[in-house]
Amino acid sequence: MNNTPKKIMAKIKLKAKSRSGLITIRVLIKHPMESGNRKDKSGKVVPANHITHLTLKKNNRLAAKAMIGGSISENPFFQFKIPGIKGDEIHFESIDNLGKTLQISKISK
Amino acid sequence: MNRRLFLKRSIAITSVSTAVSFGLLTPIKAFANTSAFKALSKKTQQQLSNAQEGEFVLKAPEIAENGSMVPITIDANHIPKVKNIAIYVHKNKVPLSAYFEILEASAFITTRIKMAETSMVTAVVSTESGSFIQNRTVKVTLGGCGG
Repeated sequence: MNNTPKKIMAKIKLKAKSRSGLITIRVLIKHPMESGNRKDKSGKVVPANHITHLTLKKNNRLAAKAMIGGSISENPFFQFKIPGIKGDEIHFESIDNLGKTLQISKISK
Repeated sequence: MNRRLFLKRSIAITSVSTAVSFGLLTPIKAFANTSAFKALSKKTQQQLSNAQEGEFVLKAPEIAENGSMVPITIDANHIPKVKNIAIYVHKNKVPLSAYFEILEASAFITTRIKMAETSMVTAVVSTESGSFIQNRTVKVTLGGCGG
C-alpha cells in the first residue's frame, strides 16, 4: 500500500514445457493492475490501469482468449494447458486499458 | 443587507473551492472497468441462474490471508467441448473477474484474483449444451489476524 506513484516497467515472462502431448504455459506479467476504485491518502482516485485482453497463440493459431477486469491481482500470473509437442511456438499478448501492448514469443521446451 | 449577502456568498464559494482542491468533488474520469466488461459481467450473472452444478475441479483457499492475492485453479478437462470459463466473485464491485475463451486449449486455468471481502467465488464453465457452476466460500482476513 505505498502511495508513491508506481513506475513499474511492464515486463512479461513466459515458460512453456511440454509433457506427454500437453504444453503447460506459465505467464507472469509485471503490471500494476490498478482497478480505478482505490483511493490514495489524499482521497484522489487512482486512475485505472489494468490489462483488459489476453491472447494465447500456438503456431500462429489462436488457442485461448481472455477478457479480464481490474480484479486480477497485481503482477498477474496465468497458467494454461494446450495440446502440443516440444518445438511448438507459443505467442502471448496482452493489451491494457491505456492501449499498451505487451507480447512474447517462445519455443516450447 | 448587501453586506450579509456578500458574506454568505463568499463563504459558499470558498467552501466549494476548498472541497474541489481536496479532491472531494473531482469527477471520476477513469472508470473502473470498460462498459463492455460490465455488460459481460451482467450476462454472466444471468447465466448463473440457469446453470446447474457440474463436476469439475475448482481449487480455492478456504481462508485467504491477503485478499489482494487469492489463487484460483479451474480444471474442467472431463467436460467435453468447453467454450468459456468465467470466474465470478459475488461481493466484488464488478463481480466478474476473468472471462476465458477456450478455442484450442485444455479447460485448465490458474490465476490470482483480488477479493474485497469474504465472499462466494463461483466458477462458470459453459459448453454448447449448457453451463455448469461450482461454488466456494473464501474467507478473507485482512491483516492476517484470523477470525
